[in-house]
This record gives sequence, structure tokens and C-alpha cells, in this order.
Amino acid sequence: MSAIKTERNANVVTVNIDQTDVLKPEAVKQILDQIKAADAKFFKDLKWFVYNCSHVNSVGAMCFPILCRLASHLEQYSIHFCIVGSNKITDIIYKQGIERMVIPCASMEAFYKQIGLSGAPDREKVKEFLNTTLESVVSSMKIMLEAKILSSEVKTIDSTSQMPRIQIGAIAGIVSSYFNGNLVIGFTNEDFKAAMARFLQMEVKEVTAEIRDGVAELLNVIIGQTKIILNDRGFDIQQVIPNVISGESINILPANKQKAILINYVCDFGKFCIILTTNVPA
Amino acid sequence: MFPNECRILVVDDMAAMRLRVTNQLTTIGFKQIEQAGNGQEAFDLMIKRKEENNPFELVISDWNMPVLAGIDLLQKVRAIDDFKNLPFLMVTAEGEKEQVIRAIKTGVSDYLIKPVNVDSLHQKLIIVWEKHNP
Repeated sequence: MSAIKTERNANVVTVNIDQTDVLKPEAVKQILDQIKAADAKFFKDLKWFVYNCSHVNSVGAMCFPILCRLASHLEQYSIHFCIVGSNKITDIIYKQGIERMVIPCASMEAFYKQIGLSGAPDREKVKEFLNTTLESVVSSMKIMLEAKILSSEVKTIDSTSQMPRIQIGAIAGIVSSYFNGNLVIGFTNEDFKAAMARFLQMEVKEVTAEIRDGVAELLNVIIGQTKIILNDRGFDIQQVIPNVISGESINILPANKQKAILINYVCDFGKFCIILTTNVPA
Repeated sequence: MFPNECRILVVDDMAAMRLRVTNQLTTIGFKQIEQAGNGQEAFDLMIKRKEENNPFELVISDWNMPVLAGIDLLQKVRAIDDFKNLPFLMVTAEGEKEQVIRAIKTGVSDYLIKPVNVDSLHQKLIIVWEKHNP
């Protein structure tokens, strides 16, 4: 049997039960074995383990002794175990008198409401990420480039929007507990040369391969600053190493019908932009 | 504080960052600065300079690098008797607690969280010097 997939949202891990084989005792045993083998990172800040059976009618009664073993194992780490499912499932839990160990819940929505979290991906969390990133941009530019931001303009864009000219930039993927996405920083060559002259504290006449790396480093530092602040708030941001993009006029456009957020900056050395695309509607 | 003639190795996979740190060190007053693009390149260069009786007296290394990361370089360096007390400053963009604890356990002299400017680098070098020369 292949490994059973789990989803994580902040301090909640969910196993979505949508295949009949996961209803068998041996499948529950496999989940228990998987949890027993999990490393410390898995348990870090974890508060809830949810067995989401809302897409199936019932769970075989034979599964419950193993589910109790799973709940008891998680209890050692102060992790609560919850089963989300139909009345039929809830009835079995009450009949077996295990409702204290295996907490029943009618739906995932009800579960998230009960613990005070909204379901992922989370729009408010994207706002929090965006606001923190805006602060990181200002502080990173100040320290890295001794730059002063004169103005900034935030707007929503889609694949038809007029974009600022980008000739060099960096893009990095972001995976977090609340949403996934990517962050882009972009410059024209002239503005990038001015930025790099400050970054390197030397005259920059052309964008060589050596200089080009600097744009990825700027993005790296901005995301790093954001990570330091937000990972303390449970975001668990994982960042993919930034890649440099360059060309005569690069269009960074949201795919499909997704929207993105564009922030145009004007500062004392020139202009640059930041683009944030996530899997949450803008 | 480290003397201006101190031989320094700057390790970073990003050329622009190596150049930035080198320029910052030059601004502080250092004259003998070499660069390496990853941990392995740095380690090989450290061994080479040691064999030439011209060893580095300070290493400033990035954490995230291909081939051999900063923490792995530190581990290799500390395994060699001659490098056990070599001042080693780690630079990281993230500064996560686990990372910092791991670096301290491995024997880092100190660490800096990016973004780093000339003043913060200078201050940190004074601290590292005092730590190694009480």
C-alpha cells in the first residue's frame, strides 16, 4: 500500500479519507505506523490530527480500536485527535464511549470554527504575508542599498494588465501552512545597475553575470526577513531558491484566471516592483 | 580587532554577495581577502593555503550553498586540529532558532542575519576577535 497523504494547515494535520481501502483496519494501522515513524519536524507545533471521513458514509467498526491506539499515541505529544464524518460515524463513537479520545465533528468547516481557524488557503494570512513583505522590502532596501522608498502603489493584476517594464528580476516559490505562491522582484537594467552600485558600493557600468546574482540575493533577503517574523506566528514558510530572470521585456503574468498583487516602488535610486501570486483569490 | 593584514576567506555561492562582502571588508580596512563559491571550494582552498604556510585567519561563510553548505563546511573545518579555533562567522538569511542552535553546537564563532551592512559586519568582527582573543 502506498504512503497515505496528509495535509497540513498551521497546527492541524488532516488525512482525507476518500478511498474505501483507507477504511480498512490495516489502512488505519498504516497511518499509525506512519505517525510513529514521523520525525520531530512533523510534531512541531502540531495540535490537531484530523481523520476526515466526510466524503464516505461510514467507517468499519473494526477500525475504531486502531483509531483509539492512534489517538492514544498522539496524546503523548498533546495532540488532539478528531474524526470528521456523518451522523453514522458520530453514533459509533458515542456508542463505543470513546468521544473523549476520538473527538467527533460534523464537517471540516465546523472543526475549523471550533478551533478558531478558517480553512486553508487563508486570505487573511495572505494579507498578513503581504503586509510583512512590504515591511521587509523597506527594511531590506534600507540596509542592503541604503535606499529610501519614496512611494509605493499596490494593485491587483491579471493576465490582461499593463505591467511595468522588467529586464532583470528574480522569482522564488513559497510554500506555507496557509497558502502557496511565488514572489518576484523586477527592475529595468538601468535601475538595477543603480541598485547594484549601492549594493556593491562600486560603480556598475553593465549587468554582468557576476552582478546579475544580486537580484536573487535581494529577493532572498526580503523573503528571509518575512520568514523570521511569520514563522514565529505558525506560517512555516518554506522558500525555493530564487532564480534570476532576464530579457528585453519580461512579462510576469498570473496563469489561468488567477489574479496577482503588484507593488510598484519609487525610491531614491530608481524604480522596482514586487509581484505576489498565490493560490488564494486576490 | 583583527589586524588589517588578516587573511580572510569569503564563501558564498552568489558572486554579487561575495563581491559585496569583499568590498565591505575592504572598507573596514582589510587587504587580504579571497573568495570561494561553495563549501567544498572553500575547504580545498583552506587546506591549500595551510600547506603553503599561509592559512586563513578568518572565514565568513554563507549558510545555503550547493555542493557543500556552510554548516557542512564548518563541520569539516572543526574536524581538523589546526582549524579547531579558527574564527568562523556564519551568515544566514533566515536565522531560524534550529539553524542557530545547530551552528553553535557545530562550533561557529558567531553568526550574522542578512541583511548585513558595513557597520553590523564591523561590530560582529570585533565580537568574534574578542571571543577568540580574550
